[in-house]
Amino acid sequence: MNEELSVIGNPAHHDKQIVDIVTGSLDYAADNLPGKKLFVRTAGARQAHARVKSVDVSKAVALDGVKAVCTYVDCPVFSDTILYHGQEVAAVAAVDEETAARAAGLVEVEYIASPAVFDPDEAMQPGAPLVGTFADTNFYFREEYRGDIDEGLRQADIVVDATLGWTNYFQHGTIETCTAVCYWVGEHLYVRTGSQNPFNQRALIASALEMPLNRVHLVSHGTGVGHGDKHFRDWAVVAAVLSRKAARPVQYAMSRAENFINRTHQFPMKAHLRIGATSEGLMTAIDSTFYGDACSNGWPLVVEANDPLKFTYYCPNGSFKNCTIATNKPKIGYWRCIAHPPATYLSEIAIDMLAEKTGLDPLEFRLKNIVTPDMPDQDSGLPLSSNGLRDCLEKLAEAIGWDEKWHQPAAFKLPDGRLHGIGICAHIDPHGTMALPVGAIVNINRDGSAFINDGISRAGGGTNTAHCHIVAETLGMKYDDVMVGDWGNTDVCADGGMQGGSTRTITAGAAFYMASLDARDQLFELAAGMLGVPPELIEARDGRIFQADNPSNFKTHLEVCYRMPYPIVGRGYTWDKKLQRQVHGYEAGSPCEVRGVSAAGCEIAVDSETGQVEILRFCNAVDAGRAIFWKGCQNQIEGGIELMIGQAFYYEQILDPVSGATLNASYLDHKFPTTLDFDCRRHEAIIVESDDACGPYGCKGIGEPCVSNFGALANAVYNATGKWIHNPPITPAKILASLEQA
Amino acid sequence: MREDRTADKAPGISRRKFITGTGVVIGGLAAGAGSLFSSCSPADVTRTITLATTKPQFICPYDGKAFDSFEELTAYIALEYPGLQPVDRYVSPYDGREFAALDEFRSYLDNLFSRAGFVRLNVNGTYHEVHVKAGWSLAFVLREKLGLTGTKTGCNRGSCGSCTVLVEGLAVCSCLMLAIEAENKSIVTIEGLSGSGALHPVQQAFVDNDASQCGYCVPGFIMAAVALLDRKPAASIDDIREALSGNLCICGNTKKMVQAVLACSQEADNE
Repeated sequence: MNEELSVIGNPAHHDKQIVDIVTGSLDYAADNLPGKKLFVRTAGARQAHARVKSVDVSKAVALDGVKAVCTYVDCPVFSDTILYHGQEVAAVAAVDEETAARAAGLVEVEYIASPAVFDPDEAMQPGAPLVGTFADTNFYFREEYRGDIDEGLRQADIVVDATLGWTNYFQHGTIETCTAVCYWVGEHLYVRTGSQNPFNQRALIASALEMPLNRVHLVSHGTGVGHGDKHFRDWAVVAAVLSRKAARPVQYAMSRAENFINRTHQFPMKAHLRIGATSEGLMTAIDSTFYGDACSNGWPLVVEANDPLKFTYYCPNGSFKNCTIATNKPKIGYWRCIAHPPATYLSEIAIDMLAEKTGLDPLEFRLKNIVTPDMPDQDSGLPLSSNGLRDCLEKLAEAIGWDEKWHQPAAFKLPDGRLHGIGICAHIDPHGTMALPVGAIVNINRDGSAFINDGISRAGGGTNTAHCHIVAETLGMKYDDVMVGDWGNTDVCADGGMQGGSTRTITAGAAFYMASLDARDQLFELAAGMLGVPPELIEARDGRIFQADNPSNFKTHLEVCYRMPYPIVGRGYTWDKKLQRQVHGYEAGSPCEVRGVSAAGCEIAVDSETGQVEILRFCNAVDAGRAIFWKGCQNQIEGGIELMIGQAFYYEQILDPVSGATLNASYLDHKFPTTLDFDCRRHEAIIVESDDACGPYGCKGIGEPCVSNFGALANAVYNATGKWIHNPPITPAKILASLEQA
Repeated sequence: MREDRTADKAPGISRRKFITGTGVVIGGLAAGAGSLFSSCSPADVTRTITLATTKPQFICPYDGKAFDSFEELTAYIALEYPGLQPVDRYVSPYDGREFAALDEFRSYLDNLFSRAGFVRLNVNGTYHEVHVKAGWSLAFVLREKLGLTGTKTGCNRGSCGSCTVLVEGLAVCSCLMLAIEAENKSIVTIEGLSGSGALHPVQQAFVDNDASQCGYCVPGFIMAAVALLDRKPAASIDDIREALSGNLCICGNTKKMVQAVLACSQEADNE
């Protein structure tokens, strides 16, 4: 691949859509059809575990301004089986949200109630109420092995044996609630929604409504951030059903409370970890069991929880178990990952415990045990496409002043009397690997510019801008000459796949790389006649198409494109072996493993009288392979810091232990950190570039790796106070309680 | 005619306004609004709500005193402010329209307020006559009735700041203000910042710093920043952190936004 880059990684480049954003003109779902829509509110179950005996909507229908009502009888995403408190049983479309909410309150439901269980430890006890998610049990185990765990434990001079957790249960709280605007034209359904996966969402909607795909038209432009809960169909199906009934466009923008209760949640996790090391501090055995509270939908996301321990450290012997548990709590789903943020939190606490027992400082211990770039994957034996973890840790240690600042736990006070602490956390995860079948379209214009049609929404930090970088670089165009054409539109784009798994830049980016090559071949074919040299001797860079060995023989893209005898369209599909360069002695194109790699470190002050934690410094080092859209990359890593602060100190959805009702379904009661809760000048993004052998131009996925190391805060709190707080959020009350313990 | 030509000199009587011309006294007329607000949508009128103010009042331009009749007002002015010029022109406090004759003025206002359910909103320097329900928030009316969808909503409880607009120059959560409360107040939305075509300096600074990820919260952050800098052009970083603390960014992008606002502050050079 071209090593002389003229577009990629330029820190001066702006997001292609930033002007639309600052002027308020980028359209999000609810911005469509102003003044023409009905509005939706839902009625939630007042039981946590029940069967609906009857629903009476007559009072709701009779209310002035109500135009349509649906229940589980005629809405395929509702059910008469209630598995958590607040689950939707009916929805109302009315002239405004207040009227819809009032009508929803008039829906009368009769239940046949069953006993419910909310605590995952209780759910595992014999005789606990059966949640009903799994056939005749509330939990099941899975396990994997490496080497000989008993032998590994025998070799260990030091063993840490700890039960840690539960971690926090919380909702994503995306600033735009899940929103869809639906309307019908004959038998065709039009959907505008915020989406992390427009094509799959269209398929889910079509299957729920039993329609062919070519009757459902979905457009997802702006999306008020997707942290994992905007993959699904429910809110759009509700709007579609009500729109058909009312014969009017219908907008279902979930209320903040509906979103907190009925959208997916990060799931709580507990771990029992036995990790052994020799007296020199080399790991010999990992015996881990992770328990995941999979709540009412029972998704087995916890199966990924062992990854950070499996992938980050070299250890020949392992027993990796996980347990999926069902409870009557609102549903779980992805939160900026599958399981790694809480799993890393727990396992990195255990690593710090082990480091302390071996007498090594946490950084030394990690540098001694992490897998090195030349090591193949310990289970598959395949090489890693790149691994910049050592680089991440070293740059991090330097940025945060680790060598000068680390001290024994609870051993250093600041001049103002507060306890000083410093902590790190690192992990490798399997993100950015998915070679999903995605497509990309590049349209060349007659004036020598290009449009990209990106089959994904703008759900985060400018991946379509990253794609423009890849296209401009490959076509040899100037950055300004490549723009985002229509995107997130299932009618005109190729399937762009899922905005998840940290795959957008690498997988969809690969499709755009292939599409650009396709368009470039056609351009060079045209240019060959003009330059008088065969296409294989032509190159393009910085807005010129030229003879490789004689750059003064050139044409601009305009000069070539102006005479296009036919429209040039570049098509690209998915990741291709052509993209892969040689990895550590293995042949180019041979199978390899792609990994997400990151480390974080922070320095804090803990007030032992109030339990308040002040962050003095927070550095987030992420291996981006190569930063394609440099500022977007930096933004996402800086954003990761704020999200790690949120996970460690703030996010927590609280349920009433008796009824299972959510008690804090608003931003007022469920606090998200703001500009006053930290001083953002103390945050630093560190971009590490390991030049990945698989990603286009060497890039890697960073979306999930950059939020997963919030265990650094727990380790820093331990370094300050000498107390472990392994059940985040780390509140002042928990810190004070821990300090009171002997 | 812009709202700023009027001056509210009658303390506590928010909806009664008057203006003074060059040596000309003009009596303002309060909203005789027997049926001003209606709980109906434009499509189907259902019923009306009667509000307290039912009869016109005439305001003295010199001290704000209110009278029930025009005759009483002129008598009062003759007594209290002898030598000042007599009234010869009438100006509507709602849209600035001028009338030479009292009868013409009255019938204009009667006609205006007989249109049940309408309020006048001054948004980005333009008056809009909007049919509203009493319970509709300013955010809802801006978005759904005026099509100004740059103002976003995230909570409808004033806790996320996405819907921040300027009302009389102050940052206000438009989801917490009723449209009827905003009548005749000067409202500026994100669309109003770059009305002339060029970006507002704060918008430009957000572009320069790429201070956005998903972008949904950005208009609210920009409006909060503009309100701060209008009030305090040399805002410190702590002023900025405080002014933006009512806004949530769930992507976690506040570092760039604070940097962008700081770049617009006259303090920036000193930092």
